[in-house]
Amino acid sequence: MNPSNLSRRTFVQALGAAALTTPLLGQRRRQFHDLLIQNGELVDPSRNLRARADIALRDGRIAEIATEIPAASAWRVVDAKQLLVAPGLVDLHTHCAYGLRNGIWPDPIAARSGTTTWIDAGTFAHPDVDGFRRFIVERSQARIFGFVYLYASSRNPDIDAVEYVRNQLDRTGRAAADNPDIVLGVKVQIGSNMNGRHSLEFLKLARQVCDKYRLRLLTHISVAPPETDEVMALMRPGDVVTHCYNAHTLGIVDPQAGKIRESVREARLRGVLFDVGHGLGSFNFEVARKALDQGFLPDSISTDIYSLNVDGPVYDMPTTMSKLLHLGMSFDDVLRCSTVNPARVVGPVPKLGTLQVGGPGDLALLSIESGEFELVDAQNNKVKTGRRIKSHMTICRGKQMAAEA
Amino acid sequence: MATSNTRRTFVKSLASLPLAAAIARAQSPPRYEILIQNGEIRDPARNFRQKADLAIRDGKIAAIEPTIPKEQGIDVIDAGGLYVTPGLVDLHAHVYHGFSFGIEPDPLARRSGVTTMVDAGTFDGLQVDAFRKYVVDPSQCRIFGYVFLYPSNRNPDDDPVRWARRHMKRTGEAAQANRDFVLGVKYQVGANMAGRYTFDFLKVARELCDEFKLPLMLHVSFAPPETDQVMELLKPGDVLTHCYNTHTLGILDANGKIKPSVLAARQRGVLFDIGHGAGSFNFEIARKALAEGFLPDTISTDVYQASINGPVFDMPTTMTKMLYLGMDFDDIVARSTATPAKIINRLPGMGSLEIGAPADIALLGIEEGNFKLVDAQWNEVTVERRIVSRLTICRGKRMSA
Repeated sequence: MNPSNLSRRTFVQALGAAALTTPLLGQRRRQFHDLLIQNGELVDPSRNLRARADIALRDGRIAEIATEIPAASAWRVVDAKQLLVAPGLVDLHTHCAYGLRNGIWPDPIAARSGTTTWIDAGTFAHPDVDGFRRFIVERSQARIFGFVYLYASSRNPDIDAVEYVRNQLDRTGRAAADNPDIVLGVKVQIGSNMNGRHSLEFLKLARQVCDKYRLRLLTHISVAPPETDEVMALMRPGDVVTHCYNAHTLGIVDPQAGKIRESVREARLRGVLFDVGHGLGSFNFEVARKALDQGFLPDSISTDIYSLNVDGPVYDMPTTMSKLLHLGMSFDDVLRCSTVNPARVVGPVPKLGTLQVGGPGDLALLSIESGEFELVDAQNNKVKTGRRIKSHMTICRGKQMAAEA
Repeated sequence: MATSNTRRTFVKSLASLPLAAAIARAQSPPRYEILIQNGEIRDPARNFRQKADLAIRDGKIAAIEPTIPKEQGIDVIDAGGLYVTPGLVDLHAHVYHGFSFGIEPDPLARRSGVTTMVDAGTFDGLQVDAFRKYVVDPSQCRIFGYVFLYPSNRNPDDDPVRWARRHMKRTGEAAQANRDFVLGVKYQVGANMAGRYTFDFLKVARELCDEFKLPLMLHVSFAPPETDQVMELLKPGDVLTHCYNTHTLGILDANGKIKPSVLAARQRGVLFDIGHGAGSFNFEIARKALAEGFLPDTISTDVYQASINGPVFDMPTTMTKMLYLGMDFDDIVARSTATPAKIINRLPGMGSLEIGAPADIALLGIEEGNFKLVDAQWNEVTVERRIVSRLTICRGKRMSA
């Protein structure tokens, strides 16, 4: 050991001692926020908050909300002047299990659309849960959850379909029950276009497995038979009906009377949730307008985004939200249906979809643009609108999502 | 050149002095990342069989010489008593793990001498990109695959053949756009696989392969259709897998003879693969076929979740079964390395140990003792020799845990 080394060590030790007695560097450093959003208009429909304020994130969570937080307190400062600072959007109906069916990779779209939480609506089935976790949930910056599909599809078309599904019920139930941190329930697609004459049988099997394992059921509705009343009779509180504004025969509006069906109103009264789930074929301006006219707002606004509709008519959450804004919903209602309402379906993350200190550091920086814009529904009906919702920045788990992620 | 000559002479004279040589060696850095010494090299691709040392540099086989001094290697492996063979190539595996019944390839590869696995249609035409992203790219083991003929359908009320036909273009284009790892199309023909639709599906497969110039890998299990009908639709370069199954759609006739349509198929260049699996390898059938001189072109496992813990286990176990049935060790190695590598035909030198070939190597041993083997019908036999893997080197690196 040579003397110069010794003296260096002594010097370092002395420094350490100084740091202990005067906790200057270490302490101050820990007080810095990772990210500070200044000058924005905070909007949080969960507590009817709308105020100009600053919001600071640290360690992936919301650390401070105040009328003024000094820029010197954060490593990075973002000026959100003239922007709305909203909770990160929660898309209750997506297909983000990339690698299965028509699933898409979520992060790049999340980054450009303010969507920090994605719920996969049954792109995967029970044999795929491990892959869903390893490939999608764990590799995405966005928060990913999912509903497991009722059955794994078969390569053999020559077997009894109902028996085939029945044989898998326990595997499906266990896949959900064993993975409560990511699997929120069971998805089934009901409609003669989806499973032909077996549709109602499948729905009954879905009811059976959800009851046995106490799981939430997410039901797609499209083409009758079965009839809406038969489907509604099998929905329980907390279940979600998606594609609620579809223009098909299995819908919420009685086409003759133009009224919301009684069974649908009853279902809502007892706590069944109604989700937009736009998709390639499931959102119609006319149907949505009729429903809204009768006060039948959606519980949640979602995209049903997948590879065949991401380049239209769906695009993303802000586009879907803009359609409901255009149809007359207030911005606060639209935002509520895109944040706290769907977040309530996601059990595992407290305070998700809100702006509360200690809650997840998920933010969407949005604006309402004025101009002339065209919107299309799933039947390619076009409308002109003067306002649209635009995402400017997505922050998830306390970090800005990069566009090229 | 005089000076250079002089220097060489000088160096030579130095080398003749033991001490000076030791110094010279100690001072020159090792040349090879891995040096395998004292092994019995078996490279069936060029009938090379002799005791020699083998050195690896930059992921390639850099030298094979009677003796390479150990100072020239960084990682020196003593392969005394072991066979040094090309890394095993499993032409029929299911490795789309996470999604489907596939298994994760690297953990199995590392313990079984396998350096290349071919997924036999666990993924479909919609999943080719994801298969690359999740399996091909992150694996140390080399991964190829046959894309399944059609994506599985959720709607039991769809016309199944129209469904398969509707996906032909997308499947063919996905295969063509990914020719670096997609080898062709997989289909499973058998009454148990798709009932009354299965033969029509096979015709769709034929059409798709013809249109996009892709080889077909065909599973066979239960008739109908009959073997002759199936053979008629196979072309040179196509692979028939599960060739020693004991089901009704097989290669033997009622008298235990190879069916003429099968012999004709082999003659025109159709390849026959074992694809052991949970149900598709039977000692009795294999014995009869071998007695007829009908050897498999390739030895493969058909490993997946339901077969990996028996009866399949791994490549060495499957190879051991062929050893038990009387095949020669070198021949077994050839049909587990060079032949499947030639079918894959994507990487020069793969499946051989020639200089410059990718350094994919298995260190195999033959253990003596009493070992139980089971076929897919759980018929048990006891054997006294078994092939075991001692080390797997892939892309010039040990496969580590």
